[in-house]
Amino acid sequence: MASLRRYLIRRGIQGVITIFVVTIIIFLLFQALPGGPLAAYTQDPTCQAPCRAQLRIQFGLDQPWYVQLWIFLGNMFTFNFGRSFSEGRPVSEILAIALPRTLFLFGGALIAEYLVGIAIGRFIAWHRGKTEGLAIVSSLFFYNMPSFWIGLILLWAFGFAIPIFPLNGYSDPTWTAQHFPSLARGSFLFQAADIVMHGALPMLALVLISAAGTILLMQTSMLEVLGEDFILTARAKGLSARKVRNRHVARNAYLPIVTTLAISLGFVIGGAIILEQVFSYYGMGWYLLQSIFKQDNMLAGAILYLISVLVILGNIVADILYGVLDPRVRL
Amino acid sequence: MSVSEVEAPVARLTGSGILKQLRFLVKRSWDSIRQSRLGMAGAAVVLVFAIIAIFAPFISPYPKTFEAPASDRFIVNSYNITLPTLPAGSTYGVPVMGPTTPLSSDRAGSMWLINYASSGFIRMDLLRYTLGVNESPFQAGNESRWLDVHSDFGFIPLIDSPLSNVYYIVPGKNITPTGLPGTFGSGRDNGALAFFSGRDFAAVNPFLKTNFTRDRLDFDPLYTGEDPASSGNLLVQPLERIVSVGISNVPVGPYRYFYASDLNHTRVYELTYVHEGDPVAPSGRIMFASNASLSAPPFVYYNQERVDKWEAWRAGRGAAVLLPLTNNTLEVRNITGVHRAWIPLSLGGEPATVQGQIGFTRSSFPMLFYLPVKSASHTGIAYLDLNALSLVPAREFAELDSSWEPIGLPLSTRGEAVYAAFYRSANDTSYLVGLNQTGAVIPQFQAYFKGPLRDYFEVDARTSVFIFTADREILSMGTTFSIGAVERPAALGVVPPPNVPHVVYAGAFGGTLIGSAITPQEVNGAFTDPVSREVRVFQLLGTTRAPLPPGVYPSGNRYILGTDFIGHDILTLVFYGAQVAFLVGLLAALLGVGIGTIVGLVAGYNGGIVDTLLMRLTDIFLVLPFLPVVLILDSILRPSIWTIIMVLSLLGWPGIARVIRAQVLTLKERPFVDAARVSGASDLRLIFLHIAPNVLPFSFLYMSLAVAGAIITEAALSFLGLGDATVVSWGGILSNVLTQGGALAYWWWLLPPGLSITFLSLGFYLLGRGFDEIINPRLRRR
Repeated sequence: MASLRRYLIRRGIQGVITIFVVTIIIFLLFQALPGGPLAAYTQDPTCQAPCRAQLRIQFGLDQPWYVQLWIFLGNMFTFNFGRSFSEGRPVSEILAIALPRTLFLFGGALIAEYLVGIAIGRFIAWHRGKTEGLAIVSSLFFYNMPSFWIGLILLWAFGFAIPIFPLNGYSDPTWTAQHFPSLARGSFLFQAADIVMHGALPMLALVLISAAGTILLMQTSMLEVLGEDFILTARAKGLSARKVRNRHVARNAYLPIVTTLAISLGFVIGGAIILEQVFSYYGMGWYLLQSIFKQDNMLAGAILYLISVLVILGNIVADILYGVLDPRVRL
Repeated sequence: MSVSEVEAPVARLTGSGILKQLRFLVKRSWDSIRQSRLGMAGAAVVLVFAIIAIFAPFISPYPKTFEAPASDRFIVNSYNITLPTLPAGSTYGVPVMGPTTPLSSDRAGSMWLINYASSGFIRMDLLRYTLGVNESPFQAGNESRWLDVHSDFGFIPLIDSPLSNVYYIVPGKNITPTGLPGTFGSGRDNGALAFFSGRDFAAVNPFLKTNFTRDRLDFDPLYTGEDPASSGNLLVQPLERIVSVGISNVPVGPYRYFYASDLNHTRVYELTYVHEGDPVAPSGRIMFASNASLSAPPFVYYNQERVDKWEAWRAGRGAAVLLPLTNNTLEVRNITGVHRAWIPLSLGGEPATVQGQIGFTRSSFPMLFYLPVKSASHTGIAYLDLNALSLVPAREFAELDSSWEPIGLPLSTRGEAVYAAFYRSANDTSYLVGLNQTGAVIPQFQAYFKGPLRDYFEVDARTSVFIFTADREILSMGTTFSIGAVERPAALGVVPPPNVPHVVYAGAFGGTLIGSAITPQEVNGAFTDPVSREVRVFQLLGTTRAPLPPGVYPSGNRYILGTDFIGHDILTLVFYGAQVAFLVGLLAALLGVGIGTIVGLVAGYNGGIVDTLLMRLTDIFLVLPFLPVVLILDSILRPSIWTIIMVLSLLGWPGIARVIRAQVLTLKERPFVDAARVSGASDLRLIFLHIAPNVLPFSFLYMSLAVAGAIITEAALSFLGLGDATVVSWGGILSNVLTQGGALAYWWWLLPPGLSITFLSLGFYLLGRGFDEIINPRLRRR
């Protein structure tokens, strides 16, 4: 166990250093963007003299670059993100709204696709045969589809041709009232239905693509393990096929799945950027794109920072999980 | 620990060159791929797309910039009738429009469509405003009038020469006995006709078939014309007015003026015509005669709002005859014939003469006239201010040299912009230009056309100028200008048959030609085909039905996969898109994997500080979230294919570096490396000639996957609008689907690009899987 703790500490320190360096890179990136940090307070009509003075102090905008960098680092580490000039609101306010939406979308999709992907991948790797071919081919197909294209097709199929789901947005009480007349507005069920129906199509798109990848990964991993001698031994010992499959093969095959899952957690914010754009789903990805288009560097920088932090955290978690699950790795 | 049987093949240690090594490796890899079914499938798909990409210019059904012609893309409401046959040797000419309520927009009036033939027949067809979308405006039955100038109007002596020009006289407003303005009369059977037949001039009532003026000229007229207000082309109402004669009040007017000239003799007629059914009988007389030598046809102008009560409302700035003389002057006379001024004409500082039809503004004020003039070295437009009786100082358009001739009629609706055309026979080119109030060219409105333009006219309600070109196309160019944009002629979607000589502006069926209350849907054009005797009126606002579904269309074109909303053939776009996909995918992957392989080799081999530094760098890059950083970098740099390739490879190399490094670490300890080092191989040689070939299978694997990923990423970037707009990219085709909103129903537009992306990416992925099965044989079927 001591080695585990040491491993943890080492990875933790490495992670902090990486965040540090990435934040510097973000700062440099945004210095290069047209408009620069000055765009923040010269173009926001809701931010007048007192607000601007406050921003100037907060971000040290009239100081030399190394002072600005220091202030920027401090701000990022304390989650003090400033003010978005395109929205006219503090960035933290926007993030507080957008983050839960994206988490709902991506989190839900993640859970669904792993359940589906693992089940199907396990099944086809074990029962090699006709279904395997079909499953692999369709998984390959969906895996290589551009996400926005699946989004457009789903939009057409279920929003237009068979209008079950709404076409856009995160929540639209008028639409929900139309389609669920029996629910009382403002009630919990109503809001739940609203959110679920609006999130269904983007979630479906996400699941389709990622599940395909998980199926392929699971199948590959299972096959690798199946080739090991100890599986042969287990069968020879007389264990039932099911026991062998679940206890011996699958457990070992989960390793790459788990690490991929952990890494996917890192993409929970940034993974659905394009789909959020296609469905006009106002989550973190949508705000990131908007801020890039409008050159709102405060907002874009904040989201990018958060995404980077999460990715680094995800990597660390993945490494630790791998270390816990496979003692051979830990050194 | 199981024994892994097949590891990467050990490369031969001969001193042979890199090329031979590479060829050997490729052959080995190909043999390996052949054993994998998936790999073969992938290779086949990639090959198909590669052939498409290479041969795209040859196998595409249409060129890269092809747009479906207007006749396929537009639905234009048009209606036609066929005119009666004429005696042999006589054909119908250009139609004349007769609006019965020229300035009113209550749509209770009607539009007479007048066709006439040299044999003396005049045909008037009634058009009325319709509420239904597909209802023909032609009123059938006895609404049509069929007149014969030789027999119908009681001329004595008979008119016996060919009919050359017919004009419609719009109804005027009478005045009540108490002096208040009255009415225009009926909205249907109203108006009068005036015509020139050989040397005869006459004015008739087509409904009662009587005549009220007849005169015989003493010359054969070359040019004839009507004052703009009487034809409905001036934003001014013809009014009857009161004049005090002694103690009584006598109604006079409204006056209508006609001229006839052969450039050496000019006669001006004055007609008085109120409207059909008014108690004041119409009459006419010759107003004055002039034998001055003219360089261009004269112009008669009568603006009701700029005349005053002297001379029975014939005095004032707004009543004038313009005579362009051959001695570089323009003579202005009162409408009564009294000389008013001689205005010297100049262009570009040189004396000039008028060389075309004099244009005017349709609004009642300013009273600007546009003189197409030519001097010794320039051709252009001079601006004449009738109020000041002089050329507007420093306002002229003099930029063309004298090889150009003015053509058509330069008109302005509100005196802000005027549109004029010139023709140069030396290179058979026409030039249409928009000029602002100072005579300066409007940079957004300039166009060149092949051959002399047949007609052009501005339609204010449609904020466009319509052009009938020598190649028989009807085009429109917008007149709302935005900075930086250039107006391009766009096809209207109406194709006149080959024999149609001219297209005229037909106004609104409710009886109005010009006026601010007319909507764009109401304005029409018209033409007559002299051979088939078809008269067609067509809406000047076509509705587009692009994107077109797959099929065959009126122009004879077949669009196998239909078109997008501009009219690009989808199949062609898909073929050309393959080129970009391959270019970006292969280059980005090559670059990225190349860099990554080198970094991995160097780091793995050297170890120590170099290794640590390079791996830290790799970690940093690995951690940067791919898509957001790509988006940001793309928005900083100018989005072109090359920046995209650069960005993709910049963010792609870390992935392979790690894997290569791990491989190198194991290979480093193998005996063949020691052997090579002992025999004196340098570090560089060791890395690139001995170790590198053994890690190349991994590189190939990663490259396949990288190409797949790059293709999808480039499509995503183009879809979001951050791609290269100058090339055809599959993602770019799809980006327009979303911005078109309701375009989700256009499956022929939505599916092919997406399927292409999927299949090509799949092909490379399978190729990579093929490699994977070689390297990792446990994946193969047992």
